Amino acid sequence: MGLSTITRRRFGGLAVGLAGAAAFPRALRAAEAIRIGFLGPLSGALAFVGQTNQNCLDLAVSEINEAGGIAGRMLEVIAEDSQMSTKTTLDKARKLFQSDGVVAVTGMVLPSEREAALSIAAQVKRYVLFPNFDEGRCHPNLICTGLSINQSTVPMVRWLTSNVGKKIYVIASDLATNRQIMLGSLKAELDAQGGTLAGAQFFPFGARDFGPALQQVAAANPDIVWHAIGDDPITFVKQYASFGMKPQLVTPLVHESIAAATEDASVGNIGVESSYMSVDTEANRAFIDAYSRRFADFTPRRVRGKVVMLPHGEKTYVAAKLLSEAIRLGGGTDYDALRSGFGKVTLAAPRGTVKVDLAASHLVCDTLVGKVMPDRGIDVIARLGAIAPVCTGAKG
Amino acid sequence: MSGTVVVILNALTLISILALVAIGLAIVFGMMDVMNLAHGEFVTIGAYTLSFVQAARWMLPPETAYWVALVLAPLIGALVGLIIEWAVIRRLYHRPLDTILATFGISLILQKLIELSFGALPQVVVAPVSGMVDLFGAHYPAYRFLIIALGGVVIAATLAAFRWTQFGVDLRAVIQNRAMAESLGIDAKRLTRIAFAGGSALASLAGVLLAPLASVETHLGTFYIGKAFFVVILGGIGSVLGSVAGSVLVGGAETLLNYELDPSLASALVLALAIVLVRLRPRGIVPGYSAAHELLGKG
Repeated sequence: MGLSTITRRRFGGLAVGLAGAAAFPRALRAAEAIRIGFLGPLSGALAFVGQTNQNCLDLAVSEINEAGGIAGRMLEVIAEDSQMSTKTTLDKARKLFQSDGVVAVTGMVLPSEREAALSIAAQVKRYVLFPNFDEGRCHPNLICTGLSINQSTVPMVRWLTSNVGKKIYVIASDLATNRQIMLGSLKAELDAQGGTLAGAQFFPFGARDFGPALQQVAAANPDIVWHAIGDDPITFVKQYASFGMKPQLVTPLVHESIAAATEDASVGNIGVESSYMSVDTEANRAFIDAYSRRFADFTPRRVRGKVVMLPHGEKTYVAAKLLSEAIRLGGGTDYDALRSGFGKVTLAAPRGTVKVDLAASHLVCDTLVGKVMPDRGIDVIARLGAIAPVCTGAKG
Repeated sequence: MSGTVVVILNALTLISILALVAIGLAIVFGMMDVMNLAHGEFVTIGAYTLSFVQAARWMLPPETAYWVALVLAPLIGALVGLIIEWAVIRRLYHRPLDTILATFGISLILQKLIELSFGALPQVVVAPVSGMVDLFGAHYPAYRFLIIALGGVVIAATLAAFRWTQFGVDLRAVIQNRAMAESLGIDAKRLTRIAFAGGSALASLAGVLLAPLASVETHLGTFYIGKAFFVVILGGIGSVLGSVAGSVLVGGAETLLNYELDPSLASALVLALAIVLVRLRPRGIVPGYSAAHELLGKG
């Protein structure tokens, strides 16, 4: 077979083979990378939250990789869509942990997604990093990067009773965690501070008319309405404003994105959170600037000149940074190394300094009181300090 | 006293929106046996028309732009309705079960198209009037009065057209017995197309009306479609008056029960009430079908 017998087809095959050989070292590098799983709602009603989480995970991972990776190993994201479905989350978590070999997953929004991912993580001894506030869930394989009930609702009630008023009316989504843990903690603290619960109503998911409830609230004449309508805070806030309600609206569900989508309806609302876009730290300015540059085309919406960011996004960013530090400090990616690493981390996060409380599955960080300003930005009007998290939800 | 008036006004707001969404569904289902699962997306289209027109401005303040959207949204809804009827629905008239699948697919496609065009973030909309007014001895949001008034006028006009115009008579004839109506020279195909577009227009109008009270997101319509089907089945398939009666019953009962009971329990009780009513009046409160229709096995 001489040179003349090399046909076009053979030449094509040869070229592909050569290209494959050239690509081989790259594949080898990828095999060495440490994998982190993204598992959140990329479609459905919470798609915007899931996409923001994914953006923030990508941002954190590229920052880590640009700084040389973790002990020379690159970090790689494998992303899956939870479709807001428990079954899909279970299937995808199984795929991420068992086939892709990720060391942890993050990005979930709903407690049901957290539970689904956690059930698989516990089987394979891996971590779930849940980037949302919650009812105080504790589990050896879980770290929540948002506030627990005793870090958010409880200190907020204390602050409200001495700064706003003592009579609170609660309107929340009809979830067992809201009915039992949230309302229970809120009422206990309210009693301790000499306040009164004027009433509480729980709405099923999908409820879109709050007229009757608001009329009853107005009749009860409380100082404060505490709202936790989780599936549609925008509808609630709009209707609250349209009824010209007098009580101060307070909620763990206010952020710049909601403020921007409700015109003037959110202005003056008070929120409790671990982070806002306006938090005045060097890490937060760098984070918000980097996000605005990289995701300028993600949405046209701006608050104070920056691309609108959700608190969930910061929590996902913090989750990735914590994981990378934990791998470095623990000296490995297996469960025991990570656990020892998480125990040693102190991170300068956008929200401020954070540490992990392994026993309570949450972070130790400041609780912030925010207020929506007329420009739809949120100013931090009070800092309630760093409160040690407590397990108020299910354990194990 | 003023408390009772507010209760009634709250019920009327919900009833107006429900009836506008349900009428189109009732006619389409009655005329063509088409279960249009994409009907909710016309509500979404209406709401997005409002946010688009208000964002585009055309040198108008958003409050004035609202009125432009109120006229434009039904036209866009009707146009999209015509396209869907022409492209998909008319090919499936004799396959009612397949239309469920097809319209469900259309619903998903429309949601995704809207998301691709406008993004996943909730859109900003502004009500044309704000603040509270005192009317009939009640202190009530001005915009909700507007919903009740506009909804009431449009529903009354639709009822009148259905009852007294030649078009309405033809439409009712087709619903009652399509074959007989066609043999009498009524162009049933043309009528169905117009009815489909009209129903879509009403849903889009409802979308504009409810947008300032809701979160304008791509899945907005899905929250209304379930309730609207429920209203149609309760009120009577193929009957405009039935849709209105069904809306009064569902909207009224839900509002009233919300005052007395836990909202979750109230929703469950409304559903239970509907099941009992459907058992007692299987063809709905105001049946749209005639005896002839029943002879054809469609009762």
